[in-house]
Amino acid sequence: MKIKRVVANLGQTHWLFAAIALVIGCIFVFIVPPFWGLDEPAHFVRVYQITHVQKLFQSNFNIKSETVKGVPKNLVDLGNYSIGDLVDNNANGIFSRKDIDNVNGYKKFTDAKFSKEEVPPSSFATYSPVAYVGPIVGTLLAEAINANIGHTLLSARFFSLVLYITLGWLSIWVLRESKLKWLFMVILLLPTSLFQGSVISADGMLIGLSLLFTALFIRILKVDQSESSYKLLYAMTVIAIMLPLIKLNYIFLSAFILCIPTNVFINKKTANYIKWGGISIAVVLGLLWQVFVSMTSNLSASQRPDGLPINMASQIANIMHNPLDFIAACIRSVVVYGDSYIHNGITQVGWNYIDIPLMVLVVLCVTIFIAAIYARKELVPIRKTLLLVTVISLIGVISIFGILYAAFTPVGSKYVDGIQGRYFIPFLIPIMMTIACYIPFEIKMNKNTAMYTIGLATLSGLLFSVVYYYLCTY
Amino acid sequence: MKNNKYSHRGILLFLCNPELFFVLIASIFGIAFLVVVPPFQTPDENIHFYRAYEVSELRTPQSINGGEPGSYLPLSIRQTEERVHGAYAPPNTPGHIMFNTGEKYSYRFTKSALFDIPLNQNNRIFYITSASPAYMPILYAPQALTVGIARLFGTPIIVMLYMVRVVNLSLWIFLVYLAIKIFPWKKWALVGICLLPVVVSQSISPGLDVGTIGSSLIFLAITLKAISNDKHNLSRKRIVILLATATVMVFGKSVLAVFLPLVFLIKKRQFEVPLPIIIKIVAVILPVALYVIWALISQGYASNTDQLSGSTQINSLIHNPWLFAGSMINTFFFITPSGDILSDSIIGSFGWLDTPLSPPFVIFGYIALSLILLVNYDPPIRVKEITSKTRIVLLVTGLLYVGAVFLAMYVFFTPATGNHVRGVNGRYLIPLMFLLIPVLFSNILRVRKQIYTSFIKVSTILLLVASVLTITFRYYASFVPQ
Repeated sequence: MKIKRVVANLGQTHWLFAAIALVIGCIFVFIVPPFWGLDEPAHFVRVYQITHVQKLFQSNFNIKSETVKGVPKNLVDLGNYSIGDLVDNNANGIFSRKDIDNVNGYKKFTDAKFSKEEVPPSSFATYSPVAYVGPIVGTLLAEAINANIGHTLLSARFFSLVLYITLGWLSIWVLRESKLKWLFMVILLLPTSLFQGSVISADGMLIGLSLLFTALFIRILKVDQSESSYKLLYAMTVIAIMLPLIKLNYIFLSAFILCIPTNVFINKKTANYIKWGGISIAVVLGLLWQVFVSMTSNLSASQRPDGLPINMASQIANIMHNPLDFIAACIRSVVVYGDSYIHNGITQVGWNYIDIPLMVLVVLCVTIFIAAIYARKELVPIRKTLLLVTVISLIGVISIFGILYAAFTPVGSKYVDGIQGRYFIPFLIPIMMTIACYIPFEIKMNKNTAMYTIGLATLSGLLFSVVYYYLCTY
Repeated sequence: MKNNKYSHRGILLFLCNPELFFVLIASIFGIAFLVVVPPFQTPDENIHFYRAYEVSELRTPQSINGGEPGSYLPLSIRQTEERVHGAYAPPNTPGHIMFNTGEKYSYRFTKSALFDIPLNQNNRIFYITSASPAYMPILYAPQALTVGIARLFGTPIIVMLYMVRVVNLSLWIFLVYLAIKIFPWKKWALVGICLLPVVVSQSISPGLDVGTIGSSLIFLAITLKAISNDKHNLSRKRIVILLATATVMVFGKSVLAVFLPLVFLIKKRQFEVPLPIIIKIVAVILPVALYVIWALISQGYASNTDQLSGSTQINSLIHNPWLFAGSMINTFFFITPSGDILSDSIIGSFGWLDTPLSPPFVIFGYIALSLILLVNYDPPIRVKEITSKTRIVLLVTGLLYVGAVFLAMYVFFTPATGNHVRGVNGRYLIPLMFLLIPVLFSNILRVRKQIYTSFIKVSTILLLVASVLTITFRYYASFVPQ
């Protein structure tokens, strides 16, 4: 009976998602060498600072200075070793392949406990604790049992994955009665999304949380005024406040809350309180965090590999003085790097160097398209609201260019540096839903066909990613 | 006013009729491709041009001192190639446009080739023409006839090359026009496929793909028409065309022989003439027999290296068949550049396949292709004309064809030490797309005909505009990212 129930549960989309994400995610957790996740050394240093709260406040040191101490020396040594290993390889002349030099070379670092001697880190991320809930839990648990560095990293990754799966599971569960659940499942199981969810990164939390937020938004649009819609509304408001604490420009995603029709609330006054109150708190907390960051670090420029100087104030003055230069830089970046944004947002894994074959990218794009138009009928009645949120999403996309131009790009540069395709994943669902609304046909499939078609396409994409990652690394 | 009204009707006719719409758009974009793709910048354009010139003089390739077979042809050809920075030298030569995306073309090159290099038929050098040895000379008839006429007037080589491109484009448009007219179902799907950038771009190449793929298209159109329920539709005239196109396609690409057994799907009642079984057997045996005879005759023309590589590959294949399966998978999935180049080229990759469409357009192309094949607008009754058995046979034939293409390229084009199949190109898979129309003909997705046709018109034009822009940027715009 129990087996039957398990099999029946797996037929439900949220459990199917959880099963696939857990298996493939765990493979990523274990096969990605220490600190080979994208910017993983910088992210883990941040997690370490957060778990040792006093370091979070002491971290306004000059990262080039040798005199001010920061994090355990062997942690920094491991980061330097892994980055050195990563950049000096190019096996057999095969594009995108970076074989690991010697698996055992990592052991001397990972088997050791955190050293007492402390040095300033090479770089560190500046995100808030909200971005790292999973890794923080994992690190604290590992420290509680006095684990070595290797086990701490694995624990941080594993809990990052668990949180990602939980958020994804909730997103799909919220939409369990809707055909849209398939679209959410595909996006959550894109190789890039799941890879980010399986390593120590702020993006896993961001993608999971933003998809849960969008799922709640859709659910609220589809339910009548009732007690349950209030629970959804409160949950949505809390997430709206959390999103800009991860990355400020996702305030535009939080702004979806302003698009909720007033008839969902008891009256107009309550509607205004919740909508504008929620968004105001989100803006204020987001800005406060940025102030805190500016006081305790030298902003994201510390993550620039070339160490070029960044001057946010001069860059903003430059944009105000020559707005056309900024627009030209955005257009130039899209024209020159647009192709890599697509790869990076859907199928790129590792430290932005492993491109899964184009055919897999194509299959996944077609699957996203099919999953969106499969739910078309449900979306048509709310298409005006969706159009509005798509406009907000597009502004959000532009804001990513704006923020990275101001805070990550040298003054007057002709390109916007640091744009990664995965930053757009949270905005993908609203845009796809709106496209689906205006397409003049829908796909008629029964549940099983949808499960097999969409499930197999996403699973095969992930399997290719895992095999490809393994081949390109070992 | 009256004239105005009629001109509007004419435009409407072109927009609403599938074959006329194809003619209009293929002509516009075919000419655009013809103009923007510089001379000698389509795959093997130089070799095919040598061969066309050779055939126009009624010559066959000859081996000199045991070297690669070829012919003595005018030096003007090489001079023209050099002037327009063609494919005469290895890819890394400075100033060489082929595979060097930083190198640009200027119309000054064309002007110079036109005015400074007249055709001199007396001064000749040796050209290797053995890259296309098994191609029967008659297959080069349109190109050779054009070159022959141009030679009579002492036309410069550069003009000759463009004349050959125009003739091939016209031939392609004519063949596809016929195929669309004959094709029994979803004619607009055929229009959509034939207007994909990969298909339009190959139509200007002086190679044999135009004749070969065009013939295979007509062969399939006639066969599928005969399979459909329209009784007695296989007239004497059509049977002759069927046999002729079968022969041409097998001579052009021997792997297309896997389509020949499809004639056995045709029912007796469709034949207007007696003894249909004999005609079916002849349709299968005649092209293959003629091809074998020609292959034996032309054996001496084959490149020495090809023969060596082929025998080594066949030998290794017999000893370890898994090598081929592994290489086939590697091609798509484990040697990233070659798999991606192939995936790009199924939608559109131009020049010497060094100018692919950007991934957003490639992805859009695949989505458009999926919708073209899967969405239906015909009355449901038409779907029932294709039985499950027919679908399975067509699908298996299509898969066999893909396998045969890979196998042929593995045996004759891949070095013995190669770990992936080399030389497979998206345009080789065009006949497979035709077969997929009946295989995927269903009512899963249904829309009004107007929506379907509008989608095909908009999506194909969008892709073709993007292709022309891509080619223009590649060859003419100096834009170097800093």
